[in-house]
Order: sequence, then structure tokens, then C-alpha cells
Amino acid sequence: MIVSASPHVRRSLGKKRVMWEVIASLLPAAIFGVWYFGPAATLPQLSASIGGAVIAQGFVERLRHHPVTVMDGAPWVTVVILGMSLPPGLNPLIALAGGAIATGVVKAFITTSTGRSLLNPAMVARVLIVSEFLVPATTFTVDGVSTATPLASGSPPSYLDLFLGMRIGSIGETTAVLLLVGGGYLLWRGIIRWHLPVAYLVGVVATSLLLGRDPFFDLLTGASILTAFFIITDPTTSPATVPGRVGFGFATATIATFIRITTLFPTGEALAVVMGNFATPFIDRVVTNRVYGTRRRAGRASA
Amino acid sequence: MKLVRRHRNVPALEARKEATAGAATEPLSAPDVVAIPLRQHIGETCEPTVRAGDRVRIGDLIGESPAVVSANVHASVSGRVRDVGACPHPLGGDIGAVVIENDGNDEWTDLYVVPDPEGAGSDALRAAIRRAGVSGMAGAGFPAAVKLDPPAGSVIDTVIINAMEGEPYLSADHRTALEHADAVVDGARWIMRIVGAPYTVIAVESDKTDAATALERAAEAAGVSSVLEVRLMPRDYAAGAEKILVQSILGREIPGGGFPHDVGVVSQNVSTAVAISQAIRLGRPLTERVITVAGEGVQRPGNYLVRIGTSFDHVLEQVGTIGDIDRVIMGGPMMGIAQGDLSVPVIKPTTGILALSSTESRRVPEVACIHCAWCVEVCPIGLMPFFLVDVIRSGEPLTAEASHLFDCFECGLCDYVCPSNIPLVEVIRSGKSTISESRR
Repeated sequence: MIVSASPHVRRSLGKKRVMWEVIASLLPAAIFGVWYFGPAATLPQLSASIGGAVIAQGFVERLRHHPVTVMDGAPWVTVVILGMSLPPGLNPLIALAGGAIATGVVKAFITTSTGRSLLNPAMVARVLIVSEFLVPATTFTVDGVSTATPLASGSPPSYLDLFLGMRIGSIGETTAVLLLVGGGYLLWRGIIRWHLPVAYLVGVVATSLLLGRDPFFDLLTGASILTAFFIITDPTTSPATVPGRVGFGFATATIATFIRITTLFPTGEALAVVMGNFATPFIDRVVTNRVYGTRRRAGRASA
Repeated sequence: MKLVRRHRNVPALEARKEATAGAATEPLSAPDVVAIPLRQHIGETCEPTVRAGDRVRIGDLIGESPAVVSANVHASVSGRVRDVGACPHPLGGDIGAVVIENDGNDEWTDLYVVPDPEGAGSDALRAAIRRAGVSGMAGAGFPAAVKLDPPAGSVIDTVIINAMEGEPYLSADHRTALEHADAVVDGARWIMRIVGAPYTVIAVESDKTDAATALERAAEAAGVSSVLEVRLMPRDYAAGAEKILVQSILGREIPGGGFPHDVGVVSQNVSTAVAISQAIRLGRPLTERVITVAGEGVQRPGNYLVRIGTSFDHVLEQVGTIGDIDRVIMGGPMMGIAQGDLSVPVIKPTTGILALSSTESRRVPEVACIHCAWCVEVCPIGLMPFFLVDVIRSGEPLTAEASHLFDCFECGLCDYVCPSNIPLVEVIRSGKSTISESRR
């Protein structure tokens, strides 16, 4: 008989299962991207980034004599998101390097004092890809016609096209409807909670209105929906409390939208998320829940 | 019945009460030998008042203590004292115990009933409760007479009778509330009298409407429905914890390290209320209690009336066991205590005995924390459990203390939801004991 500390029962929703459910929720949008942009322009990129990441994580874990956790799903989530945020037709070697950087460098070495990733690995890789390979990583192709960014295209597509995803953009970011389906699934399963996505979307709308733009257009273009439901909800790099999450989501959205609209840097979301990630440990230390029976907030003197 | 709405992000635990919620209480045959620990409560251990060879009847005093915080113990069978020695305690370690050989005659002692209880003062009523050795029957085991004697100057305006029983599997309190609703209401009346409170709330989980209805009828029959309210509470595991219950019923928070009487409340568990009624009306000491026996390892799960001092072995033998048993627990699966030695006896705060299979307990290896903060979301008192574990494990328990480590009452919800299977409660407990030991 086992004599261990309480509790003696446990919910069946474990980490591995959570990770694979997140991947499943991303699949509809990813499959749409493959269909819309064509397998030739998408499958090599997706598989290269996944392959690079999984091999890199296994390699690093082996080198550091850590248990190899490749199959617990976490690196897969990272690189499916990375792959979906890459432009179709990107040189697969760049995608491979991006995947390897995401898990082999960012996830393994850029960590907080307690060993958790400090930065969202997919987004760091995305930012690095943009800065190192600016031209290929920001050239979006549809039917063989290249343009600089989706926001810079000629005649604006209709709202319906935007909603369905019939527009230029990264492989998995265009189809608002399928991303909402996936995000809704995660909410329904209780894997993510609504505070981060809602704060992010409100932030996008607020910034857009402030700059005198059409908020629907800004919500449906770029990676707003993908970021709101799948990227800033990365648990490791987002704050732990509800007020912390609301502030984080809103601030990230503001920065992201501002960058997208006012600069030539094309993936504002990735840069904004990485910037926000630096604030997460600080937010977690300052924004805590009020503890029952106390008036002040729980002090967290040092970490 | 007034319904309080749920207000917190608490996952619905699998209740697993199907096998026992409908099972009427049955008496379990008394064993040939009982070992009755001299401490079954929070407080001082009793001194034995009998010697080997003495004859005892049910209800005879066998241990008492001059200390204020203590509770008398009584014989639960009639027969001969074999030994005044020790037995393993279900809370760990060994404890002085009176071992009695049962003669099977079930002879009762001469019960002493308070003369004219309706006219008696608080002190006389408390003395009757103390004489009967009533202590909390929900797990902690605080002596009832002490709990009903709040410090001078505290004004108690509400009595809360806790019939929540949020722990999975357990339904002993549910059955007691249903089958002894009159005694529950009577106990509540005595408690109000003793502490001078004008009002009682009996808190029942919203899915136990049968018990709630029975209690309301009993209140009407006793003519106290104007001062005694049955309130339906959300079916949340943590909602029955004393701190949370006081907060959701009255909107008051018990300060850290404080007591319910600090905020004008006295609370008692529903089975304890029945024991109080029996102590005052019948002069009957606490010598038996209802426990739930359940789990996949149990052949005939149900609720059984068991003599105090009956070994877990005897209980499991009577109900039958099947298959591989992963662990045997005293109490519920969230806060109960795993037992290594099944010769431990049933004591006053034993709410149940669970024999769980490995598929039920689902204990799996720990993996790295991903900071999902589910532990933060479910903590009923607003702690950051992952942070406490981080700092305790990195050797800084004092940082955890500054973040309210000692406010944690180890409900186990953080541990239950953790997708990385981190033993949060175990680590938090070790942090607490590291600090306590360093101050000794």
C-alpha cells in the first residue's frame, strides 16, 4: 500500500494531454492555410520548422542529461505556432533554423531563475527570422504574386474574405473563423481562460480607434486572432493572475497594433509578445491576488 | 431554502458518491477487541481511568484530562480491559490506548442526564457536552465544549452547522443529516442557547435536497424555523471549508491565524451537532459514529455505524475487499490520510475509510511546471501555490511565509488540478514544518 501525502486523487487533464489538445485546436487553421496557399508553399515550411524544433529540443535535453520530453507535446505546440506564423513560400531552411532556435536556444537557455522559459520561443524565433532574413520572411505570396505585407496590398478584401481567411498573410494566421473555432474549443475545455484573449482583442480595437482606423480591419488582418487565442495564452510566459493577465493582454495588443500600423516592421505581434514576456516575471511579483483574511495583497518579497 | 450561487473558478471534482449517497446507515458488527486511543482530538492526551482487568460497560469513562482543551474518552463495548498500552494512531505514530475485550453483551452504563436541560445555564450544558467527550467529527477534532466557549467579550450572532461534505466518496454527514434531522436541529438549538446566538444557518450542498428538506421539516416541527435557516450552497469542494463557508454565508473573513468567533460565528459539523443533542438529551457519550466505507477496493460500499476503537482491518473485513488496493485512506481523498498499518482504530474524527485502486488515485510522475497558474485559479484563499512551491524547493521557506504560506489549509485543489502532477500540498507542508522546527 502506498502511504503518500494528500490529495489521493487527481484530475485526468495532464500536461501531455493539454499540449496535444492545443495542437488539435490549431489544426483547422493550419489545414486551411495549406489548402489556401497550396501544399508546395506551406508543407515544406511547416515540416521543416517542426523537424528543426523537435530535433533541437531532443538534442539539447540529451546534452544536458535532462529527460527527453519531446513527446510530451510542448515543443510541438511551439513549432506548430511558429510554422503557422511563417509566410508561405519561405525558404524551408530558414524555417528549419527558426524551429531549432525556438526550442534549442530560447526554450532551453533563456529561462527564469526557476527554469521556465522567459520568452515565448516561437515568437523569438519569428522575430529573429524577420531580422536576419528580412526580405524572404516578409514577402507574402498568393497565386505567385508577391507583396511586402498583407496590410500593404492594393484593393482591400471584403470583411467576409478576411473572416474566412481569403487573404495574404502567414500560413496559419489568416482564417479568423477557424482560429475562433480552435480558441473556443480551448475555452470550452478550460485549457485557456477568457481574460487574455479578450484583453488582447480589446487592446487591438482600442489602439485602432485611437489611430483613427477601422478596428474590424485591424482585428481580421495580421495575426490578431492567432495571437489573442494561441500566442499570448502561452502559460509559461504570461502572468498568473487575472488582473495581471488583463494588463498584459491589453498592453501587448497596444504595442503590437501600434507597431503593425505605424512602422514597416511586419510582424508587430511577435515583437510585442516578446517585449511583454520580459515584463511577466515582474507582473507576477507585483500583481498578486488578495489573500483571504488580509486587506493588503500577498507580498512577494523576493523571488 | 435559499440558494447561494457559486462565485469562484473551482473545478467540479468527480463526486463519486453514487455508491454511498443512497445507502442508509447500517450498524457494523462490533469487533472482539477495540483499541480506544486516549487522544482523538486536538488538545491534551487523556489519562486512563481504568486498569487492566477492570470490567467496563458501554459509555463508561476510560480516560480524562484536567486540561481545558481535551475531550473525555469512553468505552465503546462492554467487557474487560485487557491492557492500557498503546496502538498506532491513524494520524501517525503511536498513542496511548485502552484495549477492551468485547463480551458481546452491549451493556450500557447508567447515563447521567442534565436535570431540566431547558432551564439549565450555558455552563451546565457545556459540562454535559464535555462529560460526553464530544469533539469535532469532521476531521480536525476540536473539543466541542471548548469551541462553544468563546472568549469573554466575543459576541456570537450566527451559528453555522456545516453539512457540506465536499470530499468525494463521503456521504456519512449527508446520511446523518437525512436520517437524524431532528437531532441536528436539536443540537443547533443547544448550540444557540450555549453561545447566546440568535440565528443558525445549516449549510447543505445544493444537490442534497433530500437532506435539506428533512432539515427544514425538522425545524418546522421543532418550531424554530424563524431562527434556523437551511441554506443550499454551491456544490464546490472548497465551499464547505470553514473559512470559505463563513465568507460565503456572512461575507466575513476569518483573519489569518484567527477563529470563527473572531467574526461572530460558531460553527459545528452536522454529525457533531447530533452528538451534542445526544449528550444533552440522553446523556450519551460519543462511543460510535457513522463512517463511509467506499472505493473500488470495497465490495459493499456504504455508510456504517461503527464503534470507536474498531480497527480498519475489521471494518474492511466486514464489508469485503476486492482487487489490488493502492492505498487505504482515513477521511476523504482530498485531505485524508493514507494508512500504512490497518490495525489503526476508527476515532471520533474518522469520516470514512476509503480503499482506492490505482486507477482511482491516478498518481503519475511529476513533470516540470509550466506556470499554467491553474493552481492560482483554484486556490480558495487567493494564494500563488506554484510560487510557494518554487521558493520552498529552492530553500527559501521564509519567502513563502511572507506570501502567506501558513494561511494554506491544505485543501488539495491546487494539487488536484496540476497538469504537471506536482505534489504541491506535500511541498507546502514540508515548508511549514521546516519553519516550525527552526523556531522550536
